[in-house]
Amino acid sequence: MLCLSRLTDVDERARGHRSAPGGAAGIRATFGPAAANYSRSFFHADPARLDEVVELARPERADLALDVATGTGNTALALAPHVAHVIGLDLTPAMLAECRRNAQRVGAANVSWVQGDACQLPFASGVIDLYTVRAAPHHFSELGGALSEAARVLKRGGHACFIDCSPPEAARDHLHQIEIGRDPSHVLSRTLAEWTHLLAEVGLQVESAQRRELDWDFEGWMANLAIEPDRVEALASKLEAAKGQAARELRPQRRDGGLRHAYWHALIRTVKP
Amino acid sequence: MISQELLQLLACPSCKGPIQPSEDGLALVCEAERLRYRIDDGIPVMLIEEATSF
Repeated sequence: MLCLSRLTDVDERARGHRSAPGGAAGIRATFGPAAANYSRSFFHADPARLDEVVELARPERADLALDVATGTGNTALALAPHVAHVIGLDLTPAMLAECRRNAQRVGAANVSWVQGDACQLPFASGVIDLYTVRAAPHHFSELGGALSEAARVLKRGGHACFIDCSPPEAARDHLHQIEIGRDPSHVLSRTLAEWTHLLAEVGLQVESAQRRELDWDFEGWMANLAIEPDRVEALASKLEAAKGQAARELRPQRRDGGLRHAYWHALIRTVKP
Repeated sequence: MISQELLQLLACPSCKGPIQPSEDGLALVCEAERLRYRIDDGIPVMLIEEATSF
């Protein structure tokens, strides 16, 4: 069961968008076989993207950090040198096995791994100094439930930081079927405005919220999930068929031997008052 | 083996109440909900749908 509490308009919209079987089983089916790819993903393991997390999170020495939907632990391990302890939580056992290998590889001793659900966090209330989640909320069928849990486990004055795919609206709507074609457990990318609305609902105060654009490597993105070449081509054609505002935002072009286009993430820092 | 520090932070994902190690050390137990969460290779599996009742 994935969080059934706290429906919001945006969550209702996510339900409407959902066209493929999702939930915990869908996420494990997608990410179990792909676990190792995420340790070397062009996005997830890119040192520049990991520096960006640390810059946003501003970890402190005494912090107890929780990285939710940690995947192969890239974010948790980036935070580990800066804090007292990090807990990485994920739904998928294969991802957590990869986390443990990665922690051993980098010699991180102050990390723990827990299998759990972002929407039903297995932690006491008010114990976490720093909550992070990166590139995962677009899988959450009810993001409001996950955000409520983030607010619950944080100490007062603690910070929650969110990084997730967040195109402007026209590009988001055009990309939606491509995202689902690539990853059936994708539910919905939220715009920055939708994010700030949801955060206000759970009582997290936004300290900073920005949308950052990247020059996106379409084939590299597909390779994270080992999408077969025929489907990559079909999804590329769909992307290049963008018209109007979506085309102006996405700016697809063939160059450097592949398809490149714009892609966006929301980088949001909040505090629990 | 789950560290004492982690044990103090973990809670039952259902009732958010305290959990404690089972007598055999192979699981974490919520007495209030009478749920047992197994530990797989040192990683606690804190999922309600995978917990067993006792």
